[in-house]
Amino acid sequence: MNRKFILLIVLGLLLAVPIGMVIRNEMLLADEGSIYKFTLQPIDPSDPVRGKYIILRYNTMIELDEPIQLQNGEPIYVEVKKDENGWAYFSNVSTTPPDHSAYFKTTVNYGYERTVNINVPFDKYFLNENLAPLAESSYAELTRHGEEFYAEVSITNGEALLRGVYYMNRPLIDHLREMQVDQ
Amino acid sequence: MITNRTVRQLTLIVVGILATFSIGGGIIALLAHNWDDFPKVVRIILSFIPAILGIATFLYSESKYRDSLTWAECSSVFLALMIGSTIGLVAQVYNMGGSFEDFLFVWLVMILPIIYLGNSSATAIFYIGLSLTWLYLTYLNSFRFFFGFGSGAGNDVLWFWILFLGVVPHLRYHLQPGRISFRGVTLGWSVAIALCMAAFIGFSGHRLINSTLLITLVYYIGKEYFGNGNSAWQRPFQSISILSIFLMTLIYSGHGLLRFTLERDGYIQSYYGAFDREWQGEGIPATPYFYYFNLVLLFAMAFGAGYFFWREKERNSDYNKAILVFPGMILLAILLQLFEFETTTRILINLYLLFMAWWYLREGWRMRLGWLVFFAALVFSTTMIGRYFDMDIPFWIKGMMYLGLGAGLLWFNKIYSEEKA
Repeated sequence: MNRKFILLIVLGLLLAVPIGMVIRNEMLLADEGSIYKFTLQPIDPSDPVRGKYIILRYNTMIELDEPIQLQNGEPIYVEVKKDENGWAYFSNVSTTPPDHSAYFKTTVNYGYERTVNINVPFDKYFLNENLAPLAESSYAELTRHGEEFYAEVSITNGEALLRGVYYMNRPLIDHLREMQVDQ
Repeated sequence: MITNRTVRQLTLIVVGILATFSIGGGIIALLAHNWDDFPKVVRIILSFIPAILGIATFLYSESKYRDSLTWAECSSVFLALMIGSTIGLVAQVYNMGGSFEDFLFVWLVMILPIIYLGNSSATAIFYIGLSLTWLYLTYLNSFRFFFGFGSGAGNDVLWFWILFLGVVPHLRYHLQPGRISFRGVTLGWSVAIALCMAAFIGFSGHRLINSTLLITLVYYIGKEYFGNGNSAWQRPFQSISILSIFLMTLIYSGHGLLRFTLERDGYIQSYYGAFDREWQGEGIPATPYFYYFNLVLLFAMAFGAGYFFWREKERNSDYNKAILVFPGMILLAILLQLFEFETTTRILINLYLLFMAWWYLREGWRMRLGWLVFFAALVFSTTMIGRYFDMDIPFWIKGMMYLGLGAGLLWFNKIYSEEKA
């Protein structure tokens, strides 16, 4: 095969990966029926390539109806439900995909008897490097009223993507910018 | 002898690669700032700029400087960095989760074709370094929680070997038996360091046997490809392998460490029951079939070490006896430990360390190599210091032992001082 042809194919494939990421994520975000709101708590680390972010802590402990033998790191499917106030929670785990669409795929963090702690694949919220530390330092204020600080997540058929993080029904980023101006 | 590169060429390549890393790192950091003032569409377009810049530079180098090694190496490294930046930025825009090692894994898979497109050894070395970083992060990730919990990395570390296999054709192409070049030696150092560092944590089962075989294999591959190197620098595989054997033996000469490793592999039941779990030491793994890849690696390395040893045997009968007895010594130590001869096992490992010190002292003297004598002194002194503090035997026996060893060393000096320099 011609070298130029191979070159174009490989370079095209290299570009196809990020393009594929964009298309897949946009399709998930466009599905309005897959939106769930979770209450959370933030902390602020850093990634050398992707930049600053806050880790969003969810209630990741799931009490199972029946004990399942699960190993740390084992792939699982986590079902999501909404309570009477519309807040989402992780309701159950299984080793095979459930027969409905409200679940995402992840791994077991650790588990014992009827309790499973899961790894959450939408636990990073990337922020401007000036705003991320502000989010962490205002942790007490953000979590004072519990349910006013929440994440909106698109979850459907095993896929999950963080749509945004909100404080008092406004995007967190707007709130942090205001705080930045006040300081 | 390094003959195929002039100093001028080498300087251009090295400085060019350093400049590429610096510029690439600068671009990555600038964009990692997270320009969230811009609308999402603008940020997505911004995310693709590094990849497009990388591809444009690569194509420019291909069309204008096809014969320039400096351009080929630099544009390949730049493309590898920029692709990483783009996927990182897309992940940033969409708040995609996953750990840094998950991100590294995707990046590594994308770097692999660039090594072959540009025939770039600098990119290959970058890939090997990044793979090792991935391995250590994955391994450390398993210690997030207290003992017993969080060992979820388990078999994931085995992916390192699959990642490593990806770079082997490039190595095969550039490493020729008996031909010493700057590129070959540099690649050799990065590969030898990566393999020997991975030997300690890159397996999820049969750890002790696998790491022993790997370090031995590294040595015999070195004899095949760098056998006629003139200095330790030109024999990277052998240098790193010998150093690793020393470190590994020193670690296992300590109290309880050999037993601990065998407990983790499920060979012995733990005193405390912490690893008292079925057939693997750490329970049925999350990916049970992948666990058997440890055995595939074990047999492949045993075959490889045997093959290269046989080839070396046909060329040369002057073996390095410290390497020759090493796998046998470890095997004997495992057997002794399995039958609960803890003290005998420790004596065996310590005797091996002393034998190693004596062997390199003798070889250093015979070949008039100061650094080998220094290495022998290092092996001897660390063993002596370690055992002085951790050996639980009566002081009078310890005293007699150290006096005996000191007398032996003086005797060595006497014998060799009488020999003509």
